[in-house]
Amino acid sequence: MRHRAEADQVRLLVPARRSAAGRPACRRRSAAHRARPAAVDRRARPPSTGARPPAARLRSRGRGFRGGAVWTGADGRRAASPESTNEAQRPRSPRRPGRWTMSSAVMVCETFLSARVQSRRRVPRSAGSPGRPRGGAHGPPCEPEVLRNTGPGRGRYRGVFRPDVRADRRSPVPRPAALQSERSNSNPDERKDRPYAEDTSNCRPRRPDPGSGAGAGAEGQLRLQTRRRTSPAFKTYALKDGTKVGQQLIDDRIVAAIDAAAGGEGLHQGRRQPRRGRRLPRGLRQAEGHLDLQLRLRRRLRPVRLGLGRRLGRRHDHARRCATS
Amino acid sequence: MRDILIGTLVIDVADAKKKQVAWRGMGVKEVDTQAKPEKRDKSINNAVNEDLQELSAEAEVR
Repeated sequence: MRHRAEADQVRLLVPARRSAAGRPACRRRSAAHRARPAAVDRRARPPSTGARPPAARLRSRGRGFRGGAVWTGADGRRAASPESTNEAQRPRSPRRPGRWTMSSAVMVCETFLSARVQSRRRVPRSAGSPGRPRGGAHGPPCEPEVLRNTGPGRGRYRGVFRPDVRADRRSPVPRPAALQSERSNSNPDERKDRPYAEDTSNCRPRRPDPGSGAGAGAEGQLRLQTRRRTSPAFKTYALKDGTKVGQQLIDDRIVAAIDAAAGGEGLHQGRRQPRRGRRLPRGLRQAEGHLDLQLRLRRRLRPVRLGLGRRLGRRHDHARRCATS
Repeated sequence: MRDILIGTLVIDVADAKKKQVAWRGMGVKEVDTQAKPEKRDKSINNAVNEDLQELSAEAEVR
């Protein structure tokens, strides 16, 4: 009996209610259930066997239950009926065996990271307030020209530089000469590699930090030298394919996601693609795992595969040999 | 037993001048093979953004 076997196998750990006599308790059938017992039986009865298995007792549920009946096993415990869609009984869809899929995309940035490091290195963590939050009312307002690379969506450091332009962006206040920084007062020849010095000359000194007790005007001027080197030339990147996922659509999605994320960082894709590590002679092209030699014979391309010391394809001099023989 | 397919997205940032890998980001996530394309897009975008946020955070620390 198929159904009996199933009922015996599936003995769930849900204890059935037992009466005082030790028999499985049955709820009192309501009038509605009494009126339609056939429907309940029809639903719970196994389709293969006409008779109810003797070891299993059909136990109906109370009012409001739409699921039909619950089969109880020989020991009175609840078992799943053959029609039930119990989670433990449901055949699981075959899934792929667990494996680690390695998909990588190599992003080659020319000076992406170094530009970041430079810009961050110059941002002073002022001695008076080391734990000062970046931005806010601490930064000196300055010309928008200085911060032209820090517009919205132009990198993650906009939080650092945005407060500098918040208030006096439209009406820059000329900076007093007494508060000029040492950088702007230095020798012009030395300023060649500090091209931000002129641009920051209109900037006011940073507001003194009330907590530090010391005026940080000079430090504020130093802080303005930070973004000059982040020229657009530093914001290029190129993508180099790594290990493929195996599905072209997912590969395209990954590339598109990296492009979008890098574009959000203020980077744009460079025109030049990264050079391959090995330059092959003309007529050779690199493929994965083997070299394909393409020879032009009789105006046709005949690929000859050279792999593992074995020539898998037709030899390139095959035509010549045929001609001579 | 239930097999779980786990995908790993590795993003390497290399310095072209030094020809060295400057940073490597790795994200691991369970792959739903039955997911709709919209959900796949979303999960891939999330993975890439998380990786690049780590890159930015590390660059800030430096």
